[in-house]
Amino acid sequence: MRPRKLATATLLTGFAVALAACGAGSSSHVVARLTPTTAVASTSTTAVTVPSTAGSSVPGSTPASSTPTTAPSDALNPQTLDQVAADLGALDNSLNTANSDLNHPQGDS
Amino acid sequence: MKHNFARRMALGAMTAGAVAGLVVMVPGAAFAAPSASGTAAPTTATTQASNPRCTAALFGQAQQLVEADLAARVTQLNALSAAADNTANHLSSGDRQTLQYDITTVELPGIQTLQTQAQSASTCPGLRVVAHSMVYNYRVYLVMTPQTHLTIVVDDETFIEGVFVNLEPKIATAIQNAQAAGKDVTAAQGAFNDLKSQVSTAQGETNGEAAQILAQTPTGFPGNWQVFLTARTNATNAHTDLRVAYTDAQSIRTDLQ
Repeated sequence: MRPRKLATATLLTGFAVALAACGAGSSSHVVARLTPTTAVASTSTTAVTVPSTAGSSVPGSTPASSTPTTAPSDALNPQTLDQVAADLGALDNSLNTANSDLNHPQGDS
Repeated sequence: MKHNFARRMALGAMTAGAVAGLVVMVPGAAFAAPSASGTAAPTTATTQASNPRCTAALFGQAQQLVEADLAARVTQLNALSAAADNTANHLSSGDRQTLQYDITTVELPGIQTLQTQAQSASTCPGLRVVAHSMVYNYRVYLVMTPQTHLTIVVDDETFIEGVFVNLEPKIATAIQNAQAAGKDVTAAQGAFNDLKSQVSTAQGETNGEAAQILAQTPTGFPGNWQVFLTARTNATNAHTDLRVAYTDAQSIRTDLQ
């Protein structure tokens, strides 16, 4: 009876240790992988936001699927370019006005 | 638009002729049609004989014309003030302050004082002094107007240059990442090199321009007309460069997708 209890206790302990190890591993995995991910794409720091890295089992590695699409979307996203386009449009108008001032001055002075 | 402009010029010429004919203290050449190319300064005679037609009988008409010219300048200065105040443009805070000060603290009160003086003038010589000051001391159309609009242009360009400069390291990283992932980035890199070159050239064309433009004063006319023309040329070139840089940015984005 005693040896059987001991064996059960040992088994349970081992299982618990294994679970804890898995949890710890999982946690460190997420943190390590978020570093490169957040450096490129601007996402939150929760594990849910890194689906592109889910297939990789090596912490910190760059998965093959996370291609540079993250890079231009960050550096040259449509909003950024749209804003530049809007500023250039406003510049067109300002320049036209200045040209008009100089080509056809109003009044006499 | 052309039609309106032609009408305005015709009206302006009529008014100018009338004022010149009545009181003459308004420089006749200042009413002359400006050079179509805008390369030559509209010339303003510095001396002109009094017009004997400013008689007691015609004084009222002359006074009305001067008052109308002053009112038009108030309207123009208010428009310039609104432009300088408009936060949709990218005037630097210092340049905005300078323009606001010149327009609302110097020019506008000065012209408004002349309005009072024109109303109270009772002789042709008195009216002549007011009209002369209106033209020579304030230069609303030939100095203040191009000065305000050109400063806005140059500061807008400077702002856009800054946007591109801030983007450059991010684009460089994006290209590096793409290359590391096995993508052919030849075209993107070429466009990026051109973008940097265009922005750099634009910076060279706008650097110091705003200060140069803002340094011009009404009494510096017509000598400072060339300053405005040069600023316009540089601003136009910078505008072209920034347009090309924008096209480059679009190409880079497409190439990296």
